[in-house]
Amino acid sequence: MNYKKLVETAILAGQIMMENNAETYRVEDVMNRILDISKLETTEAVAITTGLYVTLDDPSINPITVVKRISKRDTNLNKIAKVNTITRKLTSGNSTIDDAYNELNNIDEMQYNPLYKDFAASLISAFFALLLGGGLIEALVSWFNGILMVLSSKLGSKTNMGFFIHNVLYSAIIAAGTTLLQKHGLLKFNVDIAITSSIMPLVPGTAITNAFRDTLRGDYMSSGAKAIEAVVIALSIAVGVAIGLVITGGTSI
Amino acid sequence: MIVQILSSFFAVVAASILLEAPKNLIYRAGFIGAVGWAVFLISLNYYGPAESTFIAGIIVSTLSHIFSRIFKTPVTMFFIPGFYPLVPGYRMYMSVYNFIAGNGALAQVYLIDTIKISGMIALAIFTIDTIFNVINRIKHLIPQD
Repeated sequence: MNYKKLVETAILAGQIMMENNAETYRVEDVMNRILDISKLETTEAVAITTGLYVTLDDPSINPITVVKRISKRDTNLNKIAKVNTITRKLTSGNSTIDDAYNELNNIDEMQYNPLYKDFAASLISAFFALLLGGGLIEALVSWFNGILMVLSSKLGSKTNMGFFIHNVLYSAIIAAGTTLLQKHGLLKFNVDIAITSSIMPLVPGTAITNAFRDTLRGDYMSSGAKAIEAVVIALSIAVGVAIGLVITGGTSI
Repeated sequence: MIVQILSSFFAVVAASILLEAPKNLIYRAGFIGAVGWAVFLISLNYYGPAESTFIAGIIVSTLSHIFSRIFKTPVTMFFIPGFYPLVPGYRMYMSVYNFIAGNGALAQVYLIDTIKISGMIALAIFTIDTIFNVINRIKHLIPQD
């Protein structure tokens, strides 16, 4: 058996899952399952939010250790599901290591048209306005804000400005724009609902959920990192909204 | 209220698309989100927001675990979109707003509410995760014949 290839497959599977915000215990579980195929004495996989460590050892071979730094972070549930299916096929013996490695390398394709995805992203805000008890006007205002968010996140990733500054900027624009529309426009609507639903897509739901689940499993390194991520995102939104409200005097209505 | 539940369905579906969930699962995730929000709204008539979040969270995580077993997919597919409506964005915003407006006391009330609701989401996830773990263990312990 080609142990090097096996370790590479395990690392690649772990890397894809970690980059797409899978829970830490699931990443370790998947890597351990792949390593167990080798039936060697020592198989060890450690995953923390910022890196992966894998070791394979046996009296009969030289030990293999691979360290992988994880720096990209995104959420793509489809990739997690696919890695899960590929690993299941591999560990149940229905696929070879080479096949699995190739499949993992070709996992990148997107399943939604980018335009369709942007459209859905802008609609989240509109539906959240209705969900929170707003009317049609609030929904329309939030939809407009949602479109602004999609455009600004495109600009943000092009100029590489980092998520913190981007969140601050976007929430400031939203808060200021919505307040001005209420104050000087002809529309009468509930500003609180419009602003809240517009910032909803940015709110760190994924980080909060995963932080809690990792804590339960005892992965304190990862859960701590994710909890900090959630707090930082929440702070960036709060700072942005505060700036927007102060600039337009939104608090003195 | 019907409008709110329907829109929570579509909000969760849209969120699933943004998170690139597998195509065949987005409407199921939407269903979970809508049920969770409906439970939240109903229990809001009897309890406070924190308790209601806990009850809705229990429903969302139970359904997520059941769905993940039926459709043989990681439970995260339903968890992350399903909890979207319950995340306390409104209270977070109100806390900042009141802080800027100089209503320090009200800002604190909203801040504590935000922390309480986050804690309740955590508690709901803890509870149901543990229950399903225990069920799994029991299944392993019983010898199969």
